[in-house]
Amino acid sequence: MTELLSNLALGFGVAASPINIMFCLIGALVGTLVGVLPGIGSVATLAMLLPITFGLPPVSALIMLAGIYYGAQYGGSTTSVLVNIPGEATSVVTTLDGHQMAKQGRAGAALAIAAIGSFVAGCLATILVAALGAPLTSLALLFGPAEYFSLMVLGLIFAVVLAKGSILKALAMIVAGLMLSMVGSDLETGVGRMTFDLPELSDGMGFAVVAMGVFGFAEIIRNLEKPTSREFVMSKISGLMPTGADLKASAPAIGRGMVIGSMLGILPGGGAVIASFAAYTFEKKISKDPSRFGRGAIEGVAAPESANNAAAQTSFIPLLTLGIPPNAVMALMVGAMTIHGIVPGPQVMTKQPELFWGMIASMWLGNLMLVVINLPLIGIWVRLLRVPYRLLAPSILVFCAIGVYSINNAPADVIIAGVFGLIGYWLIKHDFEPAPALLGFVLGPLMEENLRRAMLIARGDATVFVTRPISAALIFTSVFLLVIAVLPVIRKRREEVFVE
Amino acid sequence: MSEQAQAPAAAPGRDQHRVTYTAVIVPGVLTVCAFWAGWRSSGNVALTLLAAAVVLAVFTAIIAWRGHRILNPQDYYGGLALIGLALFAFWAASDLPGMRGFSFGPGTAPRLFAGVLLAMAIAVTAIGLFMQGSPLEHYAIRGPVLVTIAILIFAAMIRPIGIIFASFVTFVIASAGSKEVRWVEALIAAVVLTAFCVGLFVYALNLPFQLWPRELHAWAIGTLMAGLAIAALVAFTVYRTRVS
Repeated sequence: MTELLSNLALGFGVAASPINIMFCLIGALVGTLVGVLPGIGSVATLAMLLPITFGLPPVSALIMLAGIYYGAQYGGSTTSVLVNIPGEATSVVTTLDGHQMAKQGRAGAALAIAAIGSFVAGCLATILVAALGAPLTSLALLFGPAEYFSLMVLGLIFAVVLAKGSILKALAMIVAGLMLSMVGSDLETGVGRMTFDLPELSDGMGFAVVAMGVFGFAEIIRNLEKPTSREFVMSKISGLMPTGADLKASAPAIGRGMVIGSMLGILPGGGAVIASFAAYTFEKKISKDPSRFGRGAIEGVAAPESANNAAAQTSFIPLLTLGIPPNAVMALMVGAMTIHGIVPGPQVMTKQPELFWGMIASMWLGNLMLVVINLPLIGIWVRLLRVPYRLLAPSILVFCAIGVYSINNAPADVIIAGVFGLIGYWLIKHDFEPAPALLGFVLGPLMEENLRRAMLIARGDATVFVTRPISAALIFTSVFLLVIAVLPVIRKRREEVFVE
Repeated sequence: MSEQAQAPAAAPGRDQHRVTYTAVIVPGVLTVCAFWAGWRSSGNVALTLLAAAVVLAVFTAIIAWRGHRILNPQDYYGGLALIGLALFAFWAASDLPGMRGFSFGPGTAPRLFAGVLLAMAIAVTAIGLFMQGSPLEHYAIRGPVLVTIAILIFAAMIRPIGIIFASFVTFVIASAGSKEVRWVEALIAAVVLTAFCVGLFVYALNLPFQLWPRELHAWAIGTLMAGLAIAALVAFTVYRTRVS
């Protein structure tokens, strides 16, 4: 306990230095700004803003990126409430009740509850990350290649089970992602694989490049074909503070959202999107009067907003302790860390404690800042939404293009991203989820490396994955999850969740 | 917009027919590609690809002969595309050495993943054939084409011609991708955005970007591109007002 406190003190010492506070603030602001814009999610936001952190020292860069991430999430909920457009996938469910509240003239209360819920959940998640960091890191030392491989299998299966739509198609997407990640040089022999001797492909395709194509360019293309129509609830924002009754109703919802979010965030393959869905469904299930949901129930805002923020934070746990990115956002964090010469994993905590704890402390600071800066700035964000999409789309496109180019100063990356933009558009049209493919793409090289090592150590004996106890437990859980996910009863309930 | 959406529904018979043709053509093309790739390679890869080509040929023939109506075109074509991707990866990884004793070679994992993908893609295609599902969605042409052109032009211009011309031209072309484009507004926005990008990326963040063209002919190309882009933008706007 004292160790935890001293570690946190170290972290706050780092995060509270004026420069880092400034970067955290800038990150939160810019993140909110981009998060408010519809049609550009947190992955594309992070990828787009990656270049602005290049010149910073590692700690500041990561603090700023984390700020961007939370800001993007928070900005997403603002637009959900005010204009019924989720700025982020994580705030899709917030539109259901948040926008109804806005229509009833309670936009201020909805936004304030979203901010307060996020902050409270963020506080708990920060402590959770700090508390779980050390034990999980020591657990990581027990992990051999076989266990790592099985853990990643479990993560991918989670992503499949939690994705919406067909399980089979999600599985196919994951494998497609794994396969695409094989392009580039072989880790052991250095042979170019599926590169067709193109020097541009010899290093593989960058994750940020692919993500920008699938989540950035594809979204632009898709949004361009929809005629724009936006309902504005502008004039009615009066009285930001929620009433006592609001607070009383939402306090338990915040607590439940926080717990659900924290749990789903830690699981590989989970993350903020699914956490908000799960928290909303849970609230609706346990509510005495479920019909209030969708008509402006404040719990329907409080729970998912707390859950997505808690999950956003706890999803740092697998990355910082095991070195496994549990979702696409964290994969971009890996990219950012590698640019700064940090290899994510258990050694970060022991070798660079100020980085690890500084980042954790900055999570809390970032949340606090969001509460402080966002409520007064709502008017500005709304004005930003007035910019018509016909101008927004080309602006986002230019930013994305510059962002992709600046990662390696490689024009070929821009072309690759463009190709993936078209692929992403095709995937959307055929109802394939791009997110599992991206997760497969991220975990592919790691999985292959561990699979190869495990097989080598076991002298080609493939049963090693089920004879080592930890690995066997992980594999068994994956199979179990997959089996129950295809059972008819669960499948029906799963559809219900996503239909909403 | 609404007329467009209703047009296919008005002629259901013809539309179904069209779907049936493509349902044969797509696996047919895959067959030819697999056969060609198998013919040109050697060893196990050639055998696998040729076997795949034979299976695909039989499949195509059955579809053509039975005139089977595709119940779920989204999954059917999605699955076929993934089959194509898996076979392509198989072929692309064919030059890589595989297992040596019990240690993985560079080619083992790609082939492993390609094989799993192939199995899943076949399952997706089968579902597309036999289970009722959604029809194909309407593809837009203008947005994807103009966005792609804008991206390609950016990639081509950023190095030799510099960020100023590149972001201006990219913005102008991309804004023509929306049906609601207005050219005066788009041009003003393009200038503002270009100035903002230069200010942010070049001056504030010190990223190593070329600002202006380096040589005389690059200036000429940049100006020409900008002129063409503006002309295209005006043309699209005028066309839109004529149509409506």
